[in-house]
Amino acid sequence: METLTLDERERIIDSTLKIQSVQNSLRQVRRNKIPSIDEIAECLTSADKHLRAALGYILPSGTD
Amino acid sequence: MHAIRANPDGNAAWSVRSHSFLELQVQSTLTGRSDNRKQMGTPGALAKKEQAQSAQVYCETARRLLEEFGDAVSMMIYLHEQQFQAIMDADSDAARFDVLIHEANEARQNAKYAYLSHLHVHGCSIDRWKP
Repeated sequence: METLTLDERERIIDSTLKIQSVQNSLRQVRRNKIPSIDEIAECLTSADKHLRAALGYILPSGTD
Repeated sequence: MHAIRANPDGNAAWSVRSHSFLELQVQSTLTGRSDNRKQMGTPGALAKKEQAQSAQVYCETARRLLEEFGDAVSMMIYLHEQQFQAIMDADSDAARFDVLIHEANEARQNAKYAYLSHLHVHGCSIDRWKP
């Protein structure tokens, strides 16, 4: 994987934090009030995992 | 320093506000001043040494970008203060600050990225940023 520049790393960290914020916010909304909430949650989890992997925090497991 | 103020109708107007404490903090960071400076040299020699180090550490562009970053952070703090005041005043429309805070946060992040991008490209003061 290519080395991240300082600002790229910071952009990814900020994006990860925003995704976690969205996850936390949506967790407090009744599931049946948001169409396709499962797909949305899955997408956010996947994005979070891959961004963390890009930062070197975790290894992306189960990725193709 | 300019600061944004939210009007009750949700519009943003600009007003002048000083943030002397924050300016002092940013200035302290820019000059690389530290608390252990009493440990070495006479005040005059020390000041010259600090000045020389500061000149080496920060180029003019980095200094300007860091100041812009500091201004953006200052704006965030000011908006949070204003929202806090609105909440304390039982302002039913205190949520109008949320969009302003969001926009200020985007501006803060962009200022940070511009500063970091410059450090990366130019190589000056690279050791000043500890991720």
